[in-house]
Amino acid sequence: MKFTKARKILSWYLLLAIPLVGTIVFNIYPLLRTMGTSLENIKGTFIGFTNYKILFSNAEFRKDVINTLYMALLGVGFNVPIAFVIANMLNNIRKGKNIYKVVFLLPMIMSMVTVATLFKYLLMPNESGIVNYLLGYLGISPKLWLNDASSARESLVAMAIWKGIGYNIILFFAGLQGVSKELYEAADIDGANEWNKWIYITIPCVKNTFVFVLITSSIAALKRFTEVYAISGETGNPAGALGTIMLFIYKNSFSTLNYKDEGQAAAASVTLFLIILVVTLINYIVTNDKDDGYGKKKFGRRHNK
Amino acid sequence: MKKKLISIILSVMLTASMVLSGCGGNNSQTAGNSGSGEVTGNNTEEKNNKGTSGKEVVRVVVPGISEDATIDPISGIEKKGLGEFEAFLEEQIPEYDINLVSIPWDGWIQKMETLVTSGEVDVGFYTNQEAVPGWYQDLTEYLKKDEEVNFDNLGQLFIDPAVYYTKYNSFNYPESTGQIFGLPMTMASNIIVYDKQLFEEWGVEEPTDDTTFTELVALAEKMTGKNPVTGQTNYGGYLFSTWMEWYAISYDAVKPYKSDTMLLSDMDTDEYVEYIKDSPEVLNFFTDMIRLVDCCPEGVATGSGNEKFFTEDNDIAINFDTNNVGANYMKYVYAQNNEMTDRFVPLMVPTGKNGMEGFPEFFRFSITKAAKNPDAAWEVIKKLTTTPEIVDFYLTNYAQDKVTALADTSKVSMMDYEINKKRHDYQIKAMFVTDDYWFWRTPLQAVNNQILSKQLTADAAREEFYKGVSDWVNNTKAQLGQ
Repeated sequence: MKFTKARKILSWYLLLAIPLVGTIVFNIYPLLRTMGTSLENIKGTFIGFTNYKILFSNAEFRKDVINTLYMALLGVGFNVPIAFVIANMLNNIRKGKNIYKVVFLLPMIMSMVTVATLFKYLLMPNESGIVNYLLGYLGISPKLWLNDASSARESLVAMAIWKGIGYNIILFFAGLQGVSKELYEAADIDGANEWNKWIYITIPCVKNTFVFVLITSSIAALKRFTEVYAISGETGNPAGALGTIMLFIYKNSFSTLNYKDEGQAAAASVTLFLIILVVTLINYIVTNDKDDGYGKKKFGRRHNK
Repeated sequence: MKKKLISIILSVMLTASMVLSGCGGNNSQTAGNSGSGEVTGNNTEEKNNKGTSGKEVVRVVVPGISEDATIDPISGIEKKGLGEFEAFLEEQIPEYDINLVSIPWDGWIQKMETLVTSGEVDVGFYTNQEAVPGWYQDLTEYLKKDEEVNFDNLGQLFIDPAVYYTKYNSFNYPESTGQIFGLPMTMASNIIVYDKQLFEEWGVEEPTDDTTFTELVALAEKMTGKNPVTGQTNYGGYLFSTWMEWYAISYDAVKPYKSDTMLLSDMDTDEYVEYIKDSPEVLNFFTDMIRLVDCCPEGVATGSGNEKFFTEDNDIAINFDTNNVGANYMKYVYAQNNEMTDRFVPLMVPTGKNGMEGFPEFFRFSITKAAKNPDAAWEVIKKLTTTPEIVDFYLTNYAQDKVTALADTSKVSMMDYEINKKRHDYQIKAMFVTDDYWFWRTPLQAVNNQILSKQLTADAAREEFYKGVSDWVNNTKAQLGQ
C-alpha cells in the first residue's frame, strides 16, 4: 500500500519535472545569463558594475524609466477601474451580453501594429486626421496628439487601453458571475443600497480577480514595447516621450541602425526585472490582507460591530 | 495503472524530444517561408560535405530572398526566388554545390550571428562594423596567395573606397585592426529627390549638382506655405531620423577618423571631441536642420506626413529621407515610369568643403569561422563578388537601390542606367572615408531626434552633441578597460 502511494507521488514529481526543466532552461538560465552579460563588455570580459554606472548616468535611460512608470500608472489606473465598471454593467444587463462581449473583445484580437497604424491615421496632426477633423466641427484647433511630446504618452496609453480593455472586462465579468446571488438577497433584507452592495459585496468577492488583473496589467504595462515601436520606431520620438525601458533594451541589443551595446541592454533588462518584481510585490502586499477572497471576514466583521 | 504507465512513457518521450530538438547537428537546415521571418533554406543531403552531385557543398547565407519568385508592385520587376538564384549560382560556379539559406533583413544581425555561431553556414555577410571578428575568418592570407583576387589587383577589381573599407577598423576590436573579413558586392549610394512640379508652381529655380546643403534648405524654406497655384499647403522639405546624421558630413561637422591602433586611449580628443564645443560647422549643421524641420509636415518626429510623396497630390518639395526615397525612386526608374521620373528628380547629397558626403555602406561576403571547407568558401566568395553576371543578378533582383562595388561596370546591366552611373561615380569621388564613426554617430542620432521634435536650439544641440560624444568616448573606454 505504502509502495503504491510512494509510486503515485513519484509519478507526480516526474510529471512536474517537465515544466520545471522548461522553466530552468527557458527562464532561469536566460535570467542568470542576462545578469552575467550585464557585468561584461562587448567581448565578454568581466567589468564589474561599469555597465550599471553608465546606465544610471544615461539621461536617455532615466527618461525611459520615468516614461515607463508614468505610462504604466496611467494605463493601469484607467484600464482596471473602467474595465471593472463596464464588466458590472455587462453583468447587469439581461439581453445582448454576448454581443457586447464580442464588441469589447474585437480590438483585442487585432494586432498592436494594426491598431497603432489605425491610430496614427486617426490622430494625424493636421486636419487630415479624423479626430482633428471632428474637433474642427466643434471649433477646436488641430492637436498634435502622438507628435507632441506633451501629449504623446497620454495618446498612446489611450490607444493601448482601447485595444486591451476587453480582456480585463472579460476577466472581471467571469469573476462577477461567480458572486453568489444569496449575498445580494441577504443584503437586500438588511436594507443595503446599491452602492453598499457594490462596495461590501461585489468588490470583495472579485478581489482575487482584481489581484490577478492588477498584477498582469502592471507587468504588461511595464514591458510596453510593441505600441511605442509601431508609433515611433527605435527613436521613441517625439523628443523621446515614447521611449520605454523595453525600447531601450531593443535598441541596444537588436537594432541594425544604432550602436549595439549588449552590456547596457542586459543591465537595463535586470533593472526592469527588479522594477517589475518590486511593483508586483507592492501589488501583492497591498491586495493581500488575509481576506479569504470572498469578502466574508470583512463583510462579517463590519456587520458584527 | 495503465494510465499511469502511459503518462510516464509520454513524459519521458516529451522530455527526450525537448532535449533532442535543441541538439540539431551542424548540417541541419530549417525550412520555412522567408516572408514569415524565419530562416529559409534548400535542404541538402550531405555526406562528408559532398552534395548529391558529388561536388563540395558550400552553404551561403543571403538576406531577404523569398522562397518563391515575387513581383515588385511598383517596378513590376520579377524577383527570382531562392531556388532560381541557387541554380544561377551553380551555373556560374559549377565547381561547387551552392546551398543558399535566406534570412530576413529585419533583425538580420542576430539571425546571422545565430547561423554563424551554430556552424550552419560557410559563407556569411555583413555591412558595417558588426561583431565580425568573432564570426568570420581573416582573408589576409588568401589575398596574399590567390592568383585571381589578391592585394595587387584589389584596386583594379573594386572602386577605391571599397578597397579601403575591406580593412576592418573598429574601436571595439582594436586587435583586429586592418584585418580583412569580407569582399564587397554592392554599396549604398543615397539620393535626395525633389518635386519639379512644385518648384515650377512656386517659381523657384531647381537645384543643381553644385547646390550646397544650406542652399537646399533655403529653397525648402521658400516653398513652405500655401502653394501660389493650387492654394494647397506645401512643405518645403521632409526629413527622417534614420541616416539623418550623415548630413553632418555635408557640413564638415564631423571628421574622418584615422588610427593605426584603433585604441580609444590613443584618440586625440582635442581633434575629435573638444572641437565640437566651439565648432561653427556643428552649429551651422544644427541651425540648418532646425530650419529644415520647420519646413516639414507636423508628423515628422514620428516619421509620418510624407504619405503623398510620389503621388499626384504630393505636397513636399524636397524629400531628404534618403532611407526610403532612393529605393522607391529607383523602382520608378526601372519601371520606366516617365511620368514619375519626369516630375520627381534625383539629386546627389551635397558634399562639404572636404568633398565628402554620405553613408559608407557596403554589403560584403565572408568566410565563417566554422566553415567546413574555408578554401571552398573562399573560391565561392571570390566568384560572388567579382563575377559581373552574379553581381548583376543580385542587384537586379534583390538590391535595386544599391550599386556595384566593382570598378569595371561594363558587364553589369544595371549600370546602363544613367542614374546608376552617376551614383557609382559619385561614390568613387565623394564617399566618406573613415576608420570608425560610432563615437559621433550615436550621440548625433540622439540629438537629431530632439531636433526633429523641435526641442533644442542650435546652441543647445551643439552642447548636447559635445556631451554625448564625450560620454560615448569615456564610457566605451571604461567598458574596454582602456
